[in-house]
Amino acid sequence: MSPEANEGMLLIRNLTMTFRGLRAISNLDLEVMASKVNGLIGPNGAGKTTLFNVISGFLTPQEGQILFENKNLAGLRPHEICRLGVVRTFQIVKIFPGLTVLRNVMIGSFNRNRETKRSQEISEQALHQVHLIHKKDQDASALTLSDRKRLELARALATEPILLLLDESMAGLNPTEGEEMLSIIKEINRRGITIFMIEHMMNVIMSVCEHIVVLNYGEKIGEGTPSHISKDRKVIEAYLGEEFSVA
Amino acid sequence: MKPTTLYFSFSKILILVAFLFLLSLPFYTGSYILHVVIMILFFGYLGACWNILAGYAGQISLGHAIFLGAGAYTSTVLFLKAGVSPWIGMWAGGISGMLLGLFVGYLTFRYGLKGHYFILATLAFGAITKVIALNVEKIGAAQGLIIPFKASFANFQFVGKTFYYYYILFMVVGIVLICTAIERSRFGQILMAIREDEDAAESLGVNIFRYKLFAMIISSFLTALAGTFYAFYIGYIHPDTLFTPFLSIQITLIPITGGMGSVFGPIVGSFILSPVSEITRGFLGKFSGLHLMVWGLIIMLIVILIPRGIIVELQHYFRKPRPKPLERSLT
Repeated sequence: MSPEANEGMLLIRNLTMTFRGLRAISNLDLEVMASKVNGLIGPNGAGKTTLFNVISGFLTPQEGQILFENKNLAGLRPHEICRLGVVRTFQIVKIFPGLTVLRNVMIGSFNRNRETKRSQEISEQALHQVHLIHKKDQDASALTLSDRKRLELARALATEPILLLLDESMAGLNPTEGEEMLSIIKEINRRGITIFMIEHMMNVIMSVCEHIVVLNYGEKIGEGTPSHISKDRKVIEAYLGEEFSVA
Repeated sequence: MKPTTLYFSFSKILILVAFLFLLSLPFYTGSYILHVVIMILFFGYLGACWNILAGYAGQISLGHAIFLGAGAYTSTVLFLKAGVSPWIGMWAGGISGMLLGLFVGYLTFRYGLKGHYFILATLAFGAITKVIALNVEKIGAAQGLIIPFKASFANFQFVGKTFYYYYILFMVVGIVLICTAIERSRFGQILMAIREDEDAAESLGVNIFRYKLFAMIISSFLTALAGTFYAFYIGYIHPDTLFTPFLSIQITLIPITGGMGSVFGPIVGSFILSPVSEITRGFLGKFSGLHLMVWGLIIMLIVILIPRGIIVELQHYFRKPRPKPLERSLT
């Protein structure tokens, strides 16, 4: 682990995002820890996906800074942010249905290289990582939800990211598929990519995340380790409902 | 042999036979048939140009006639007023069409017009251009421009149709090669990704504004290049024939019939639709507009039976495993 491993890789300072007077995120400060699996939780409508949209450049915040490796991401376009190494997946999967699985992933790999042959190698590697290599020549439209989610992940990996934003990668999957996805995410993190994930399944969050941020009504109500979060009164009232035992 | 390879080797032979047939056509047909085939190839070429922007990049333009018009007017005016040879004028025409494309593309893509809004904007640009062309006296206004016939190579004017035929055939071969290159390139792959999902492409590092604009520039330049051919083949240009929304729609329907986002789709589509308009115009001239009814019927059948167009549907039929049909989206 590098000496800076415990430092914030992504620092959000005083971030505010409003939609015509509605404050979706207000005065938010948070940190995403380098090389860890970071979690983002909170009730529906807490502003989790909005935060991801702001970080990835799909929304421009009215106030505040998003510092990634000392560069402010606020106001940059999504493709510029991807180039810097921050890549997201979508809550409702967005694949390229008319292209084959391999071609889908190759679009991601073009982020860092222009050569088709090298792109293909990187893409096949990414497909191996998500266990989808056997379907590389199928049309993406023929994939199941679980495969689509893994395809999206492979595509993001092919961009060679530093920080990966995962928006509910496990939602809609059955327990077996969920397990597989989880082990894939852990493996990606083990290879050195920082993860920031939105997830609703508390057992997943509590078991895999080392650092958790809790949002409610666009404000941070808690931040810390799983054991710290699970004992926090405000978090229990707003979201958990009861004390959550950390295994 | 796998069905895929069988299909591809079969299609290669078919392309070769069709090409040889077209190459030898002037030796055994009369000038009327030749004229019909020239118009088929001409519209196939225009459809293929449109297809670069719409079929690959997914940006449906209903104003492509203005690029053709810009190309035709530029070279004609240069020829009539300054005596510039159409061989030079065609490049000037291409560039003027490209600048028009750059203008339309910059305004629409910069402000993120997508789907229906983009279509409406291109339609509006078409309408504006027509009004301008109808009112500028210097370019003939509502009288149009007549190119006096003086046969010579430098004037791009020839007795008979054989030269025009080979010229447009050459342009069709050119556009087929260009589209094949685009389809196989990184550039083409990225255009198709933009067509399939703009947000996803953008999140993966694609500067969608730059790619869409580039597709627009290529498409409008190539479209405008054919304007010179049209002007000097017909010998007469007029805003009502060149800047009409109907011409734009015609350019659109041809690739939709043959298969959007495929190299040969627009050419095949033109062989199906264009003869209908040429033949009904020739034989049933007094029932003007009849070919539109026949077109309507063909389009209805295509949309119901083979919504992705002939070529694309054929490719998928021979491919295994067979994917679920894609919802056709014009947005």
